[in-house]
Amino acid sequence: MIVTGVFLKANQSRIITLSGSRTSHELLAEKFNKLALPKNPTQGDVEVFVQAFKAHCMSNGIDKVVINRRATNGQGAGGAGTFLLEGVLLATSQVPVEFVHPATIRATDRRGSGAKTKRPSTVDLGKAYDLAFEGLH
Amino acid sequence: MRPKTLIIEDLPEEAKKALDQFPEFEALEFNESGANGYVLLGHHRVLKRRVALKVYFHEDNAIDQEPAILARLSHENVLKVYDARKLENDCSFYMTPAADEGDLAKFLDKYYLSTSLSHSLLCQLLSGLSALHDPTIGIVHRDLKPENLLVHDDKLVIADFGSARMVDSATGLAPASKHSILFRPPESFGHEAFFDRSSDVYQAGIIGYMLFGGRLSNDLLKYLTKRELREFRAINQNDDFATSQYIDRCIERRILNQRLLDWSSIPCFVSPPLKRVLRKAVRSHGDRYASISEFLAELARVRNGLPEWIQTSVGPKLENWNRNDYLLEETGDIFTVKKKRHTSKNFRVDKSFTPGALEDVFKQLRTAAGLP
Repeated sequence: MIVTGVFLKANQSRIITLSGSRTSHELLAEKFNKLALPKNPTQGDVEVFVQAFKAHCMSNGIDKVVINRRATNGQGAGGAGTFLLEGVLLATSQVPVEFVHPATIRATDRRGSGAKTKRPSTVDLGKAYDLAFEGLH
Repeated sequence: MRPKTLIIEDLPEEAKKALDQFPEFEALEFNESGANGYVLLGHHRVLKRRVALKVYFHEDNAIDQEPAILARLSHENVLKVYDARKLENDCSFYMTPAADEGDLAKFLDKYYLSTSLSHSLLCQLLSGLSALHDPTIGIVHRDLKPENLLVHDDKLVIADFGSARMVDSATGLAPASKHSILFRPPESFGHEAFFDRSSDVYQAGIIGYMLFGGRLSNDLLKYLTKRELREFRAINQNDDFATSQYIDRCIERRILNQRLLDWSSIPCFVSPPLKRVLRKAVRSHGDRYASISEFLAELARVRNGLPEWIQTSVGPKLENWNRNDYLLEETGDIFTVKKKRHTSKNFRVDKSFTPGALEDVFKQLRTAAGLP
């Protein structure tokens, strides 16, 4: 199974793609790890964003996209950036999009984070990895 | 070559046979510029739209791969196929939508493209290519060049799949193509020549270079150095094989040494980050983008804040930069900066800029207007 984890933060998406299972997986398309929309995107900006994301899904045979559940209350809630990105992904993704809540990731880590062998050291990419890991069987 | 006005009696036998099989098709133009066949352009009376009918030759009883590939692909930037039929053992035809602007080569000759249109066409090309590179399809085009890309309503469509091949699912490699030497990537030369997905990226990079104003002459002798030209003239000029072999060897050396493209021919107003992305796309195998999506992601990144330049008959024009338009008006070799509000009509000379050579005037404008 090939899963792409997309961590949405402001107007940026950090992307990690995993192939395999929770017990044995590897990183794919490691250089395709960042895609952003400008603060006030035009139709052309969105078009290029969609083309790049679709190309990534098509050329890597992605089965599923997992994105972080947007905060609807508390600090950081209501930001337009993640709202736009989430909408664009939901409207245009040709593969199923699933949401994962940060609490689900914390629960997985409590049960044992030993399987997360390929987790990148950078914070945001690490979060994208956690999301992709949740999508694996 | 210009399409000829149609006289049915003058058409080749195969084209006449194709017309006999398609009474719904009203042929209007005939074009024989293709390498292995002809194209009839006309009107489909039932579909009520302009269509193209491509008659092409292949080896006896060979599988007609081109329409079969097109039929497997469903992407807005890949040519669709309406119908395909066999005429003879070595000749078939298929029907596709016709492109209103013809191929990209003609489009580039006919119009000045704005930076945003060039960027958009390049992204569309890459988007279409990603459908070919889909692992379930697994095809490399191998012959991407402006003549094989169509433009319809400012949308780019990939066509001519005569050279396309399946990649080996284990190695990701396909045999190298020997078509169109100027567009051949470095890895397609030598004894262990091959083609892979990043080879298509290389060819797309060259097309990007041309879209943004880079020059690539079809006159192959122009790529020869003075010394090579002297050696070339020493060869028997009546021996076509020897002369073409020599030219091919010279161009191969240029490609292998990364000296084919003249980056100084790209206008100075094309932004340096964009040039860097294009340069990376045409580096040697292993140094360039490994996949279409990487190339697209970089193009998406540099699009943010890209100034909207367009070459005009009087000089380059920058549109809607901080609500102002700028025109670098050319008078002989001297360029003068003219400025206006984006919403107003007439340009006025901006005397805060000193007239001079394009590069000098552009440098002043870049500093004053905060261009990238």
